[in-house]
Amino acid sequence: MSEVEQASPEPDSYVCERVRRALAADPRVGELGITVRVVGRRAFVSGSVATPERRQAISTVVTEVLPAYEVQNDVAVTPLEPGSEIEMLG
Amino acid sequence: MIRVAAVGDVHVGADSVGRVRPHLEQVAGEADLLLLAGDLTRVGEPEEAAVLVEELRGADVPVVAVLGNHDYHAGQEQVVAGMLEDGGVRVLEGEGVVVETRSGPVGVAGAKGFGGGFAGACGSDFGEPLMKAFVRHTRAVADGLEKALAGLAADVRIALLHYAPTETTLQGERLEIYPFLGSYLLGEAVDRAGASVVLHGHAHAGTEKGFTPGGIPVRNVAQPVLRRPYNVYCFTAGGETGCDGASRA
Ligand SMILES: [Fe+2]
Ligand SMILES: [Fe+2]
Repeated sequence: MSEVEQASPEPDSYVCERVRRALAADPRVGELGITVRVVGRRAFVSGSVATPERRQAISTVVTEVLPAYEVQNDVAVTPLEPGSEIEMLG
Repeated sequence: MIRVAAVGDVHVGADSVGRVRPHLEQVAGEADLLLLAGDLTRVGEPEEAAVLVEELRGADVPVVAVLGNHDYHAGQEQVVAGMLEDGGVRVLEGEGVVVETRSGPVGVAGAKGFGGGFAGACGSDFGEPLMKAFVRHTRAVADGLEKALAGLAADVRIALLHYAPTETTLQGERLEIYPFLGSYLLGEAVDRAGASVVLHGHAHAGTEKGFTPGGIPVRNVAQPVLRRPYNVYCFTAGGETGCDGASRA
């Protein structure tokens, strides 16, 4: 958008890592395991988190970090099947 | 028979109120003991620990835990551990406890662990002070774990960690981050002291079942791996499964 950005566009890998840093550091999220991918002006985030609130907070933070990008949030809320698996170990 | 329920990486936050407790209400019917393998909270804030303590009231069995890296993030790990202890959870760091369950005694040696990587591709105690400190920290944690395990007077002896003691339960994670996921020094400590099983978390994209180089079963119980509230591991008192070959895994 700005002339500076047009003069020297930030490589996508730096953009992705900027987002990953924000997702780890932002107190609304605090997640390390989110995958971030950037294609053109679209940002894709994926992975899994424990709650729907945290999934939504990821969209909020990515949008704040990359206001000019369209954000696609493919993060899942960890699905829990009912019941447990039982294993004999000794 | 002694039944041990285990899970890690529940990452409880203020938004978890009422979400964990319903899953724990059956645990007393399925297990004699519940083990928590670290990353109990989202970022280690005392408010999150308070939510966790409240949610754990649903579990009517003894609970033993180690902390994970997320529980250290806010720099309040001592407060978090203290709140859990006050809530009835035994929090271990380089120490062991023998829990007298209704089905018999279970020894648990616990430590968070740390990274460093695995044999052939790990950090060395060499070079800059920070690099030496990193590797020495893992070595100190592994030594503490070995002593704690060796000191457990029980037939069923469990090593409870957050970081992984082997790469066999990391399948699915990117190879590049293995050194941040665990250390072979932890596996070596367990193989020296002997154990019935090693339980760990931290590797959300890993796999459940693996083993140490000495053949002791390892289970990655990170909740995103189990995709269940917890799994249950059963032991007949008197039998150790370790040191008899990797075929058990
Ligand atoms: Fe975790
Ligand atoms: Fe972790």
